[in-house]
Amino acid sequence: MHRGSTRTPAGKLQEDSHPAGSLEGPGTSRSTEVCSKLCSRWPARRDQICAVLDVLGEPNALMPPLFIYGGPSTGKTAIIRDIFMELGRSYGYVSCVEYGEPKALLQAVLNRLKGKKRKSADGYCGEGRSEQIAECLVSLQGAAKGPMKYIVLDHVERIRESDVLAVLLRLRELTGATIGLILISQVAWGCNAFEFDTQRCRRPHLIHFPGYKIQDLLKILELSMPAGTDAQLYKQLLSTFIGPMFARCSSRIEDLQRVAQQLYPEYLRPVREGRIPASQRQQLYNAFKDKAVAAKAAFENGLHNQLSLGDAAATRGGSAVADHGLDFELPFASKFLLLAAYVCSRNKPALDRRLFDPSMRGSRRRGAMASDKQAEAAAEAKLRGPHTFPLERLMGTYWELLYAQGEHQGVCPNAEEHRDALSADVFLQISSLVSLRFLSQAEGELDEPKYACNVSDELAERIAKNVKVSLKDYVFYV
Amino acid sequence: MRPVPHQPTDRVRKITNRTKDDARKSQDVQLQAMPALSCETAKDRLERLKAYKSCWDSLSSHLEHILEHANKGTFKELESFVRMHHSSPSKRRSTSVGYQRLLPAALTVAGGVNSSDHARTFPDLVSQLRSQGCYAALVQPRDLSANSTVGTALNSILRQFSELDTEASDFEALHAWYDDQVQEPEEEAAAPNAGSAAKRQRAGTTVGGYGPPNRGARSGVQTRAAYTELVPDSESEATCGQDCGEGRADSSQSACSDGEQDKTSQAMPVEERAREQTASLAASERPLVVVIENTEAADMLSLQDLILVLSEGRARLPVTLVLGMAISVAALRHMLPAKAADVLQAKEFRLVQAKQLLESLVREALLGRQFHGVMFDYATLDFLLERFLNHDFNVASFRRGLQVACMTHFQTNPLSALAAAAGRGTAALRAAVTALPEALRGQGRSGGTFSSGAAPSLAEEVEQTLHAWSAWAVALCWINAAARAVGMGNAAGLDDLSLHKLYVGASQPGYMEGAGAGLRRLQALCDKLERLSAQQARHLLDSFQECAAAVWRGSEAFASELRTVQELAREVDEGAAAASREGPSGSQQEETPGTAVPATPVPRLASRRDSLTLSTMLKQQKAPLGIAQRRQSLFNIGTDAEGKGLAALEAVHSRGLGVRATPSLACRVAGLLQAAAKQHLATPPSTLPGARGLCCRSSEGVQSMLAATPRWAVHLALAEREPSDYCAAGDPDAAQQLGVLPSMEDAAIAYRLLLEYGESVPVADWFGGFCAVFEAHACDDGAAEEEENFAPTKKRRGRPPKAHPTQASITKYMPNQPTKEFGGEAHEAPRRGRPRKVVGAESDAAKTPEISRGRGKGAARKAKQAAAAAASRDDMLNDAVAPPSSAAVEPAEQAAVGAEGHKVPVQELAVRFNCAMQDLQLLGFIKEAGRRRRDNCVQRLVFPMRR
Repeated sequence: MHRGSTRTPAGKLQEDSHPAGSLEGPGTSRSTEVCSKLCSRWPARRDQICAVLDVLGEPNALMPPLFIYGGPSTGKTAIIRDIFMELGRSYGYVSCVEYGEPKALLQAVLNRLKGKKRKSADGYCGEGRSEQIAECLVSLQGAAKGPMKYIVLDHVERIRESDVLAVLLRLRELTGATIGLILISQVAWGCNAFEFDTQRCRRPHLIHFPGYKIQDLLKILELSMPAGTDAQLYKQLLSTFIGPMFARCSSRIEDLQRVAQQLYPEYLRPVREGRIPASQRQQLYNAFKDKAVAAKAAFENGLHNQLSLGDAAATRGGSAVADHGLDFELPFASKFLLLAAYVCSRNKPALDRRLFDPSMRGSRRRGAMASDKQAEAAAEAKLRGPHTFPLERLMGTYWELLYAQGEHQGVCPNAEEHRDALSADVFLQISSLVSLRFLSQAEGELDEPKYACNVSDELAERIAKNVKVSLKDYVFYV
Repeated sequence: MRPVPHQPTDRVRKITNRTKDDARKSQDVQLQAMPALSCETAKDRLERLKAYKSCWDSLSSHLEHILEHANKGTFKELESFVRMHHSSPSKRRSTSVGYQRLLPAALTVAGGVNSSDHARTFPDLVSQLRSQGCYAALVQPRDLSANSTVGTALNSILRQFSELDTEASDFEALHAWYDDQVQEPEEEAAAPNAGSAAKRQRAGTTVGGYGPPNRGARSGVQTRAAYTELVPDSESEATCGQDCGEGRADSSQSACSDGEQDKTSQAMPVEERAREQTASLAASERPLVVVIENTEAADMLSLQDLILVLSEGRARLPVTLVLGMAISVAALRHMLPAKAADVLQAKEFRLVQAKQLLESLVREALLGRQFHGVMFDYATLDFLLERFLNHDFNVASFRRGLQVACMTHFQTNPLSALAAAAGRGTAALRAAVTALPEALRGQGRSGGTFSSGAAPSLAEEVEQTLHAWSAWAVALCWINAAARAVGMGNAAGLDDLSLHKLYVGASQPGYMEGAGAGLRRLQALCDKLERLSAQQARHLLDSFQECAAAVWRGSEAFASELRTVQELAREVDEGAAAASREGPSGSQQEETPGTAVPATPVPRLASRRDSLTLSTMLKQQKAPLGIAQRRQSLFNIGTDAEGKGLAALEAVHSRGLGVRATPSLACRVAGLLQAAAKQHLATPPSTLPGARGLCCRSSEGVQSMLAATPRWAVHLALAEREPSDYCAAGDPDAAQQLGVLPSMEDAAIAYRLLLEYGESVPVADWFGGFCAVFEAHACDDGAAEEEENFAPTKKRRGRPPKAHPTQASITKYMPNQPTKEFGGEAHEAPRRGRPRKVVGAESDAAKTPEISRGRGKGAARKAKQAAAAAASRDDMLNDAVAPPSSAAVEPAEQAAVGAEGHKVPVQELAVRFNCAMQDLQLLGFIKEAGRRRRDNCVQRLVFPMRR
């Protein structure tokens, strides 16, 4: 069922969608001016900007709830902020990340609408918190009288299953307040979660912000060109390398901007040194191609990207611990505890006896298909992933690994090591490993806590290499 | 006026008496800290206490100083990072195309699993940032727990930024506070009369980070709307006019004024503008830093929310994030959700690693320029280092261990009063010795004699020890410096030549003897040293001199070696000067590794050339010397009167024998190092007679205070101690110390039986053995002798029950082995005495006789073994446990036989066995293991005991 208004391709609103009418009238010239300014700043967003301006209409004009959705890094929040800045209208911004609870959210909306300056004398507290939603609504009735006020609600997907969304959408009906509600979400309205509690509400006006195309991304990057940069060369770099190579990996402006700014000095170097003239595009391409390929190989999104391309690698290169396979320090016992946890989480408990009890080895009769069955079971267990294990099993495996290591080095455990294995320090290290998220306490009763091992295969291999334990001898996934 | 009374009034007397009482009580407390030792008066005990305070305070303050300054460099880098990423409001508005959402984040790797060392690291960082003018807040992981919202963290940040006790927990409150901070200077600038005073007042409260803020100063702030976000320009402000109403753009005025400022400021000179900005926008120039401690322990979704909130508000509140981590950046990358990671503009910083910190503690505090009056023996140091490396990587724990060792030493050693004077020169030492009681002065003397034949005084012995300690410390530093020169001795790695390992290793007697590890390592080090180039060797000589200067009285103790070092250095310098005069060829030759020193030998060496003939040299070529001997011979050229080696080698070389005869500088340095190390590390100073008053030898005390092993203690109490030890009802302290109760005698018996089995035991078998223990009384001595040689030959199922030598087997307490007939009886009695109502383990236990009889030899064997406990049971039951009540005694054929001739009914045994099992389960020693081979089993949980 289609209810309410939808946006036409040209950005015009359908007949009943805009109570305040379209942008025709005295403010048209100003709106056009604003629109052109915004469109020049936000490439490839003309349709969306026009649509938003249409819905906003004249100052003090009523507007339907506006629902803006689109993927990350598509400019939703930034454009809305910019539009309000350009229009010179004040608005209240509320992030649903910050106010997850309905009452807190309504209280935040109320605080924005009242707009009172928070004072240090009051400890920067806002209005007193209402205990019930109804109280909030009563307060809103008083607060939202007068000229039109706008509330921008970001990350609405966080409250999509909450009752408060329906309340917000019916705010004007419930309180009579002149409030313009703009909802921003990364999830489209069409999903059931949004429509679950909002069946009786008027459907908001939907505007979609699609992802940028590569050409659009390059235009945005050109706009954010750093000062003092040769515009022609920078554009060349963007069109030759950033667009074809990096923009296919990530559409985040920040990532591409960072890569462009890191690569630009290298790209410019032959020109600056006078080896290649700036006009020789092909030569520049050939000279820079290998570096760009190497940079692309190291390119990943987000935090990883920053750390792999930044100077962190240089900082870490000097670390002596890298020689030992680990880039961080762990006490000896902690390493064995992690290995023991890894073994416990991969092997079935029944295997422990066969692994660690010498009297069990070789005494088992095996059928002709046993090997195949075992391989199948191992593959299945590997697919199923690690499982939980009790503390006592961890301690037992820990001791066995320590003992095996001692045997390997020709050292038998003495009374001191027995004592160490039962010392409170070992248990303390388990709690340290839990707080560091190497282990996590999964389930279990008070007397027998169970743990899960969060150590990846790669890290376990590195730890095993560090303490000279052959992990293959202990992990069978059976 | 009243005249002053001639005698003290009652009130005055009372007060005086109270003061005296307090002083006496305080002295008593002090004396209790130092128990009385032989021949000591209270004054002597107080002297020991004073010496302890002096020594430990000195050492502790030194350690504290090192710890405080360990991370200063990284802190400065962090501060510059924070300043670099701080943008004042005016800058933000002028640069942004869209809105800035990248949040600068310093990923600070603290390097170490144990967070107790870093409990103070991040608070220190915060206080340093505050002292440098930043607004800094520390967020604990508990503020970002799974049960709390992001508001908890925001409230914590606001409280620390504003120093207000507030309940506000949203970003708007933070923004309102920051707005106040930014605007106040503007207002003060507008009101110059009141401005300076208010500013000074605020600087006193906020910059230093102490004291409540001046609320009154903020009351006159112009009321502005707090809910609006972005800034319309001046034109739009003029046009929108009434539209904004009370909801006028929050920072519109400041933005307008900024815009105007920008226009006007373009015409102003840069310096003036900067000065004006600094004066007027001091608060806006102060960076805002949020430090999150132990990030891994925080709930990642809460952390993600905080990052997103701060990122969205970055345009209004330019916060920089410092994420403190214990492991590595890679770990955070795996944990942090992508949404949060995407908005971080991260850079990695590393704090000092735990091993490096330990290394610097050893280098600067324990072997540094100051002697703190105490030294530590090998056992103590070895325990502390092992504990550090194996368990916690915790420098604080290491330090605590030193303190415990120190305190125990002063509490137990009467000569420890000398320690305070040990580092203060000979006169102070002699005075301290004189102050000792005569008997103690005699104790300290070792009975050795000087060359003059006179017995050395205690003060002289201590002086000798201190001299030896200095030389020992310098030798250690030399080895470490040499190791670092050849790429070994890395503190962070697993290198045995790192200073902390050398320090502990060389404290062991025999470290430098033939079988000692030190000699072998030294040998390997010297082999590598020989490959150094002359230039590297020359640098090493400089390091040697620095090392000697960095140790307390090091230059004095190493005077002869330092002279040799200086000679070698001078020789090299002269050679280099000569080579530079001759031409570039010489310098090229010098650079190649292993080449001979181009310099001519020093005159002292040249005069000894004749002592080694060519034939001797040729013999040496035929049967080459060992590396160490060769190195020794080379070194002896410079030091011994024998003078062999270098001159002859040079001669051989000059005669074209094709041997590299001239020793390189590196060889000579290696020889020098080897000789010095052998000489000074031969005897650890802590073992010298003069070290009695200085050396802390209380490793047991340190172990007992630092390493808690409650399970092990209970295991020992149950498995090894005589039951009478903890069953003694009259000594509750003993039982408390052992961690078991007197009523756990049955549990001890059951536990010892359990140790005879493998990992798991069927309950029925176990109970059979338990019953047999009580039946063994009936076994007469003759039969016991017959069966003494009986031993179960069949291998048990599961792991062979060979116990560790330190663990007691129950057979230890079972001199009499049961007879076969008795084993049969053991089966018979319980079978007939099966209890009617039993539940759980009890029911299993009650089934024992039938099951064990039907199954065969398992229970019989256990019973045979267990029956031998009869002898020990006599004492045990006589002393501690009341014999089973006569009322409970059943007919003879239905009961086992008690220790005193009473027949214990099997019902009672079943109940007692059940209680014992519950006790063991409560202690965490056993657990139910379900059914195995149709038997209910229990599993032993203390795994190390099975070996």
